[in-house]
Amino acid sequence: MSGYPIDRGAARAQVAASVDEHLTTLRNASEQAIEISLTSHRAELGRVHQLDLDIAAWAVLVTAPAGDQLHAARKELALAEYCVAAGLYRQAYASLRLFLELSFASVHFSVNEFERRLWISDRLDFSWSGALDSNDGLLSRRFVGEFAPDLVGVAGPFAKAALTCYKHCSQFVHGKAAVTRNLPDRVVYAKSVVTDWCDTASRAAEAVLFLLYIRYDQEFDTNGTPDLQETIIQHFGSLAPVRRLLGLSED
Amino acid sequence: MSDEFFFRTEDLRLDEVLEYFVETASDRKTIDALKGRSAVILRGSRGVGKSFLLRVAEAEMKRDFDKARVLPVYVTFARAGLIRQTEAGFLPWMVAKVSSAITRAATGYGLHLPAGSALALLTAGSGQGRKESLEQIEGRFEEFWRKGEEVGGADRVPDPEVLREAVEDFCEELKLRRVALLVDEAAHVFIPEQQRQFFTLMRDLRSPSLSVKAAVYPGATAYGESFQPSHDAVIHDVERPVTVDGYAGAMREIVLRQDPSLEKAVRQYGEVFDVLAFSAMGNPRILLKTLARSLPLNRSRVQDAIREYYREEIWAEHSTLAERYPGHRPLIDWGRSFLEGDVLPMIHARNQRDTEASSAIWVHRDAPQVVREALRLLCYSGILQEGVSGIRATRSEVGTRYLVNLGCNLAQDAEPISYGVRVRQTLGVRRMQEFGANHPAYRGVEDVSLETLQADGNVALQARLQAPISSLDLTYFQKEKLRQLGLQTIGDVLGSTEAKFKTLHYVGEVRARQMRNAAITAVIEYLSG
Repeated sequence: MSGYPIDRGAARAQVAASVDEHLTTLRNASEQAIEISLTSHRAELGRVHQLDLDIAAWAVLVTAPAGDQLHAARKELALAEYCVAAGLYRQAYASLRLFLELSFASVHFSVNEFERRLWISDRLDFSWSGALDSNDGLLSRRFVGEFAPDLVGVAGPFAKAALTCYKHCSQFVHGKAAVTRNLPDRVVYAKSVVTDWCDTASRAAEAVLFLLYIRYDQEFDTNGTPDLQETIIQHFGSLAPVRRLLGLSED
Repeated sequence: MSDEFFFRTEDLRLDEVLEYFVETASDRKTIDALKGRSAVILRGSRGVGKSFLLRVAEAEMKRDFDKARVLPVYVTFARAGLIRQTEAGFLPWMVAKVSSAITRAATGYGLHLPAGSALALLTAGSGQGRKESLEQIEGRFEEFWRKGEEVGGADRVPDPEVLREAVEDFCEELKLRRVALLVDEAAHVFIPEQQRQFFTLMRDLRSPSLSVKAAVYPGATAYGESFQPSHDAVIHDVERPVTVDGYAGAMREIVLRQDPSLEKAVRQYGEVFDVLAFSAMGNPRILLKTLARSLPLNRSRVQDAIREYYREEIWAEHSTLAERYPGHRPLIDWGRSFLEGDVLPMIHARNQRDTEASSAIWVHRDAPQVVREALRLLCYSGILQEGVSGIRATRSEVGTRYLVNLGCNLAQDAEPISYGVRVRQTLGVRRMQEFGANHPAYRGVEDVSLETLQADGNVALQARLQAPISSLDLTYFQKEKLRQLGLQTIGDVLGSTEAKFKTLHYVGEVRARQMRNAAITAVIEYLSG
């Protein structure tokens, strides 16, 4: 075509170089964010790793498909951690929300096989608010009363934590100004965001662990399985009914 | 509110511990030692706050980790009483437990990422299979109903030397100054063999990179051949002397940290509260328990609480030990009658006459060994507190001073508060009731053989395993089902399998699990109760 201002090949090369350059710059920014995040938040991230491993101790005993779903959830948690360390904060909250959703869905479907089949064949959506319904959802008195009656009195704060964390993550997913205005406008380390994410992730993972404890305690013989028992003692050992169930000292 | 008092350290999360810590000079000294380089034995009776001090030290080390680079690792051996007797003994269980705890702490501090973590799986593939962990091997040691069988996987547990060297490499690699291993309930007081093995391990692990701090009860004195308490560790007794300045203030503060709304009542009934705190002898758990029974606070309720707890409950707890450890029964029973029949009436009578009050006894160093053992058990229960040994009494004879529980002393009187106020004002720690080498009160216990005590370790466990299934917390239907299988005792139930239970009609997975769990819980509750 006559009159074309520049050579098309050169233009393509320039665009490609520019894309490469920008992506490399982004990668470098992420690398820098990872370095600072690790230096400044090592123990907070370590706590998330330990919670993930504690969830894994239960997940390996849960048979497919609920077990597979839990492993998929764990991978979302890991991706969320990668994002938060790399300065991709909105994505970090989005993945964290998906971790919560998949974990709770795994337990919900483990007791509702028909719904699972509908969900797999895409005829049903998993409803987060329905799954945590205060009357008959996961962690409701009715649910806990059926699976772990001794723990009815201590389940409330974990249901509340799950709801609060989910809502907090949703605000990032939906771009609510109240939270997103605190996010940096480029890929760069932000201390307060990493701290908040680590705190939210720990609370969310603890709620998931508690849910697994409620759902599978009787099925997996927690008392005779030290690696499961350790996960309970470490996170919920300060709750008197839990200590009673584990036969630990009690006044 | 009183029903929200935290009686036990386990009621608190690590991040809450520092909020409730009321520092006294002796506590600070202990905590600094726990954070320091030397090995420490932390000794104290039940409820005196050993676990709490370990947790405070851990929380402070966690807070200061970035600067100090000392990795705190807390581990409890509370379930040691359940460990089955094997040829390998208690050692592999302890080493596995310590190794797992160090790994866990390293992960939690972000220093190490185990292969199974999701973050590692993002790049290394699925790997969802269940690998055998040291915790699973620990579990096999805790299968206390299996007698004489070898523990599978025990050979995977490293030797103490290997563990020590691994910790040295680990510290070097991660630029850690050291690992501070805080072992709670380190040595079971009624199992001398376990005590010996623990103290030997404590010595074997000793290294500049690994400093072991162990909380033990006063009765844990079987140190084994290689461990010398004064050379291999610094011994810290957890005590808060009632006679030091600031004692009453610190006790008030402990209560008010937990429930600030009590401030007005504590001020209004200051003298009454201080007698209650004086009775508790620096034992926060006893103070909180007796205070909870005295609310709303007034003089008459406090008097009732002192009488109820120190005349009945503390003794009931002591005597219960005899049921669980029948080999110790003669010593436990004698100790109680010695205190109730001789010591307490003598001290009370003496305090009516003398201007300087007393609550101490002195026992000659040549008193029979069984007497000293019985006194040690009283120290375990907090009824006595071992004081200075090697002190001179009448005619320059040498012996050990024991402080008698002040609550037990005050509960002798019809008016514990008035008596307590007087004792509190005039208590002289050097005044003591003396018991010579051959005091008539020792008759009846002198002939008890100490050998029977050595074997007592798992007697309690064995006794429980022999208990009939009627004592299990199961429905009539479930017990009948167990009988149909010919199972008579708790041990029989534990030795059986869920698969066998499921061969019965109407017994599925859930019922089979319940039947087995009930047997496990029955044993654990009995031993730890």
